[in-house]
Amino acid sequence: MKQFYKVVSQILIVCMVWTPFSIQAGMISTDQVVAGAQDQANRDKVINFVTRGDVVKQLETLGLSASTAKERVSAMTQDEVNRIAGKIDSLPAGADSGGWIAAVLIIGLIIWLVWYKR
Amino acid sequence: MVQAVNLHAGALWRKARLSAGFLLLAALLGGCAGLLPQTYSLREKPPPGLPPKAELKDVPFHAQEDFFCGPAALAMALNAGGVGVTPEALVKQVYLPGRKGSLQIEMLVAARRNGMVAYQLEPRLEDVLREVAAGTPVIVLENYGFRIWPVWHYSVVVGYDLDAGEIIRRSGMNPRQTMPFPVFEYLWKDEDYWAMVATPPGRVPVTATEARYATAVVALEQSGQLRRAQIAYEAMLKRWPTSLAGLMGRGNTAYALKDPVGAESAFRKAAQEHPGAVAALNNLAQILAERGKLGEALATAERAVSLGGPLQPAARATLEEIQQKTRATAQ
Repeated sequence: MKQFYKVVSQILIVCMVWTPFSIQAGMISTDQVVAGAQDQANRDKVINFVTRGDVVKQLETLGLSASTAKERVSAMTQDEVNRIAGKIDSLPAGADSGGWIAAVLIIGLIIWLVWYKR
Repeated sequence: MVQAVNLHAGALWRKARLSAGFLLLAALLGGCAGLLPQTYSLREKPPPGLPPKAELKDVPFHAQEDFFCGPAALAMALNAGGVGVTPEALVKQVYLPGRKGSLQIEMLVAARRNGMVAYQLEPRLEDVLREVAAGTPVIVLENYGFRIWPVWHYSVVVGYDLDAGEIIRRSGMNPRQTMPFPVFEYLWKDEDYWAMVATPPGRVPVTATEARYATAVVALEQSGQLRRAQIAYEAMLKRWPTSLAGLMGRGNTAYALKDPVGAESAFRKAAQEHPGAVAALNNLAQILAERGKLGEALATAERAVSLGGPLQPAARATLEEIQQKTRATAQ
């Protein structure tokens, strides 16, 4: 089974690497130039390739209207879409800080007094 | 004999406890540097050339309502860069009701939607301070909870004072909150020291690296803001005059904006500076062909194909098209 997955991912990698560079005469985009200059590690991430439609749906379930969700996803690059897809529930979402500030400040103050001021 | 073994074992045990004690002591002592490494190195080795203090007093303040620190922080950064947008208008672009907060990627995307280059800094306190010293406020993501139970919060760094050991931020309802560096690092470290700036296309962040900045500008180009992307590529070329991404971006935006002369000169420069870059040769061949200079186009395309690499199929397609065109004009 492991072997099977390995073969499938290898095929996928090859497909994904070639798809953006589909054989077409004309200009090569700046995006392709920059992608080519970056490390191959990014290519591996392409395995998690998802459609924008999936991310739009995920945003809708979190309370955005269909049109707003679509607008927001269409402003993302493919790399950004890949990075948030399926993780929108768990990624950090900066929000309120409320009463936590006090508690943390006290902890921080102790660290500061004990250590930074020496 | 038995006693001898016991004695031996006892000695071993004491030795083990002693080493453990030393290890623990070493861990505790080293722990300070390990716990808050950035503050530690800032104190031990102040970065050369960094002014001892700076404060951006002109950065406007937007008090945050409830869960809207994302839109508020972004509005402050964008306003400072000359974009007159309100937090209320940004709620629609970054706030996620189901999460009662805003995602980092959407903060970057929204900065770009408002015409700025959205650049994520390297995870270094020094870089945050350098940006502030250069006049750019920095949005940071802090964790007021714990790793397992996080309470995420965005604030805007607008100043610092190395001698007092303090960082100055606009945060929540507080327009000017000073915080000791160790406290700040403690809050800031959990999401791999996440920090971003939103800069006007004409100004490259002082801590930007070529590759990272190129990615940010390409995203602006892809979003269709061609003129702003063009300005950003020009700024990039001022910082890195022979940058391949910068030269290709200059050519591609010129081409998309129907400026074939500008495109040709940019691709020519790119091919000159980077004779091994298939993309540069391919695009130069393409623009030459479109401008009727078929002989030179043919030679350039052949060179592009001869280089191989992952872009070779595209270069071959371009070459074939030029060959066809040449045959058609010959007839």
